[in-house]
Amino acid sequence: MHALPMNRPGLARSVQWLVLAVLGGALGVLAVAWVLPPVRLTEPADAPLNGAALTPPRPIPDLTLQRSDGAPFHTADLRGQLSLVFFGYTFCPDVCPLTLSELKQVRGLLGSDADQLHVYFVTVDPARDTAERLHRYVKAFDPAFEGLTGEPAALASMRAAFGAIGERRDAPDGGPNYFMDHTAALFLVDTSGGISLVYAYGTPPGQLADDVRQLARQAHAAPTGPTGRHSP
Amino acid sequence: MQTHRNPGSISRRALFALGVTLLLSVGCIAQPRPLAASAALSAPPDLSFVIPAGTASADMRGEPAFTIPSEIVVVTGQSVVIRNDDHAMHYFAETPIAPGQTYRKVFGRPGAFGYGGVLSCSIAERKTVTVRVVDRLPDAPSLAAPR
Repeated sequence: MHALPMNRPGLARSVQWLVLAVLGGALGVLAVAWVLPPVRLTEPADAPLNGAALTPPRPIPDLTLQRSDGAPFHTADLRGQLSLVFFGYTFCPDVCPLTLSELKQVRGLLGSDADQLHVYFVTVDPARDTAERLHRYVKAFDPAFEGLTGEPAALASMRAAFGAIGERRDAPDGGPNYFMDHTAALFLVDTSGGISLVYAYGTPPGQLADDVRQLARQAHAAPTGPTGRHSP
Repeated sequence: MQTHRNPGSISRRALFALGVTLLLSVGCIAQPRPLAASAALSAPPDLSFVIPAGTASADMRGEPAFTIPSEIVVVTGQSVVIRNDDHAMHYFAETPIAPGQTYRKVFGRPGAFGYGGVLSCSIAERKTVTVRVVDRLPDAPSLAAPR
């Protein structure tokens, strides 16, 4: 074996001690690295979103409706925020109250991030859903929810913009009461003001909250860019 | 047997050991591939459908040109992708897919998901589609093939 010649035995011994110290230090680092979680050199990829993604997001034309408190609502108001839009009616026996209850849960799951999400309930039954009735109905679920009504033509344009459906179905007994067949899905309008995600009826609130958190984080990181990772 | 060792020398073996230890330390600390990236690499391919141009017109003539299977089987983590090349809007699982749009849904959890026709005040007349999400596909590949 070849050895590096050293002229001064004292110095050579010091260097040997130094080598041993470095070796010991490295072994210590190894031990610590074994115990601690690995250092991420790249950011973890976002999980796939739970909603059905529509690409490109569907733009919403400029429409004017009426908020349940009487103030005007413009679809342009949706830009710059995350919104879940639902079409229903206050006389709905099942889907609408269940969905609004779940949306209330979503806001609870979001905790301090709940303000990042805006919820709009658009009536498909303006004949019976007066602004006052609509207001009481949505606020009973969550004071932050907004009820939207308006002229029948404006509401029809709103449904068409979202691809939603609301059709009257008379009661089987021929009585004065009637049902409204309507789209039960939830539409997510992203910060660009486009419809980018759709959630089937019954999507668990936890999945909705996860998506809202992820989209809010992405919107915060790139406020002018597209939101959501729509592909795996 | 007596081994001669120069007290005033540094062993190359010691230097080699030092180098190897340092390299091991660096390799142990820096793991450049996060778990998500490796999961993405193993994601199953999309199950894709294309709604061809003229589908709505053909439907109106009573000549259906395209249909989605009433049951779709995917593996966990697989995406169903539907591209609408038609000039009319089409619906899948209550989701309106406008002309030129692409629908994508990742099914990340096993189970059976039924869409449409199950709610008293939804679009009851619309076709029901069931998406079955399984951990692995059965051997017969035709179950998940588009019709």
